[in-house]
Amino acid sequence: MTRSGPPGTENEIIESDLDEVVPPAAQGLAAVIFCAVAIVLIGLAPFATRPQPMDKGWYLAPINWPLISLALALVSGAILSWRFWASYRSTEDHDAFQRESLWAFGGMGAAIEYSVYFCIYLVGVSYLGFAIATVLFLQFVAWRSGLRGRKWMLATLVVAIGIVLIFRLGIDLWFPLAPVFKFLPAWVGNTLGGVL
Amino acid sequence: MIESFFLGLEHVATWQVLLALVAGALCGIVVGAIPGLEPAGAMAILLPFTLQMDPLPGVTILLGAYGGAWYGGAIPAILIRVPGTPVNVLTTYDGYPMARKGMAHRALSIAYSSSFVGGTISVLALVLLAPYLATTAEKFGAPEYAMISVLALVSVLLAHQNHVVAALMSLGFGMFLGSVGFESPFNTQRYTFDQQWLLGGVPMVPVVIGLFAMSQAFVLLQTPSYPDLGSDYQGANRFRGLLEVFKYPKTVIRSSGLGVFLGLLPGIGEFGAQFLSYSLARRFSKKPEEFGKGSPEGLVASETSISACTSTVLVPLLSLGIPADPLMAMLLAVFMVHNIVPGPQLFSEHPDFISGLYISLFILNVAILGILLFATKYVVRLSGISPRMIGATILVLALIGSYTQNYRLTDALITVVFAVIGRFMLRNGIPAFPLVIGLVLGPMLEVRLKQSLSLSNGDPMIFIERPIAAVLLALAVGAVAFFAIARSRSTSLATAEDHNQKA
Repeated sequence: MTRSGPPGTENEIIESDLDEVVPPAAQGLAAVIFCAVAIVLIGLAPFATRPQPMDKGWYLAPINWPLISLALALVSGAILSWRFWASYRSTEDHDAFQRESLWAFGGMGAAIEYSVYFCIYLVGVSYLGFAIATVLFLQFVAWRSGLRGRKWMLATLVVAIGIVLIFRLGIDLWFPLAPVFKFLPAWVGNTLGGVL
Repeated sequence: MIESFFLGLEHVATWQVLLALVAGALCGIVVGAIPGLEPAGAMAILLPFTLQMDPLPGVTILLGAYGGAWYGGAIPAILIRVPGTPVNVLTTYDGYPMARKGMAHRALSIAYSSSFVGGTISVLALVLLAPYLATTAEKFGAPEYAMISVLALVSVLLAHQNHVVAALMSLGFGMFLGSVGFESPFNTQRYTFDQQWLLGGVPMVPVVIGLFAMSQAFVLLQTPSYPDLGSDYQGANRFRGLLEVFKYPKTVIRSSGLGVFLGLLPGIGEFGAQFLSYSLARRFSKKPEEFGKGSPEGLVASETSISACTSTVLVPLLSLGIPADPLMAMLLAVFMVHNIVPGPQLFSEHPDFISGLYISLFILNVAILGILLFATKYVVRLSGISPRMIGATILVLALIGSYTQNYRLTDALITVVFAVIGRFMLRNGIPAFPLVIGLVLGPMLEVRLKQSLSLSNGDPMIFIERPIAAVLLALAVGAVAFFAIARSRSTSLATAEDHNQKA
């Protein structure tokens, strides 16, 4: 949760992984990536914004603020990247350093995997409607995360029904009529589509 | 004054506000009691629904979720040594050993009552300080507001003591994101790449949900179950220890004072207050050796200071319109939707709202305490829910939260992108908090800087020639200088110790 020293010695605040203790090399590698992103965005600035308009003050140019912000990110990212590079050069065991750096991507596989499921879920909501997509999505994600068996299937079904009841019927959350309901007779499709 | 009080009371005494109070408090307690759930994420998910309510119930439900989480976070911290929210770390130091000694109920009662005392003092401080600061702020112009924003950003950065550089990187990206979209003075677009959905800028709600709720869901989906909370908890004697907080009046006063003061400073709030108040309580205690081994005084110090911040963080928002953290940025969104502009005018234009807010904050503390005293055993049961189940549910709630504000599925896509970014940042110790502050405060700072420089025809001396702006700028520069000196001293001390050890 919060990575902190013994009480009274420091009062840092940082959102942290449940795995705790970030190797400096991993943070350095992450900074290198953020640095690269900042450089690309700065490179795009002349195309993505407008420079100073004629006869107007320098301080009003639309390009200023994105450049100042990105410069802040770049300078701080460069400091971290420099430390990363310096420790790489000073270390003798390059393999260990590399392993430590690649720690940065740990857990990202799962994050991207669940993000893909989430995007499929969004497509599902568009085509199947909120309720059906939610029931299927929750069942799948629970199964994928290791919650398997009849007990968990039932539990996720109850959660999904609860969410649908609260948000679709209780709060009347609006979603466009899903195409799947257009296959049904108009009055059935409209009624079910409004609820599910 | 009395008229405003009765107007506020009339506002609060409606079923919508009272229901919002209870719902917000319950939601906050549950969020706090379940490890891994972030109050910021929960508030972000609730935010779109509160936008559709009247302002007072909307704000109340968010404040309930915010305040309740700090109370509820003590439950797992004491029972299983896992802080319910990140700020409950120090609660584990003394709460858990007390629970191991069979005093779980006493530790919980002390934590609740300490939070209640801290929370109540915090509301009183808000009532006293906010109008005073608002009166001062009436004299402020664009340069002063620009410098307040600078001071707020500096404060947020310095609060990340050992990660200032990473925090600055995060802040820079946040400020950049705040600049994306339509740029009004010249009717141009910045970094929209002709995407119409980006014209309004990067929306805050999907970003916050992605960074704080969904990224946490990814972690939860891989987390095995937490230990059973119920095994050590005895439901009996729930009132035992409730008055024990008053055995330590000096600790209560010191911790509340620190909480109130540090709550005013953006970014420092609960974290800074609890560490400082805990270490001071240990230093001045008659039994310092008991700290960390189950000292009720240590528990009082940490819990009182956390709750003493909860209302004072509202002071900069209400009186200056400056949100001190992402949670306040969400409250600002509720205000803006209802055309309530925070700042000095708020107190004269909406005295009934302000008065109603104060009263509801008082009632909120009472409601949370009442709920916890009578329902802890049920909350404890809720805490046993599988983290993976919670993670899966958060994913669905993330869709609902990000979709509801604009009824656009593209907002849900923004959430996914920021969830992956948030997970990467979380993994690598790069704080996400400054990114959100940059996203919210960046555009405000840009506008105020442009206004100020327009006033002076581009002469930056305007920030030095105006006394209040100069003082604020000096404070920001002084804070950076003080921080730099302190860091270099501690680094040279560490180097000297290293040399000594080698010698």
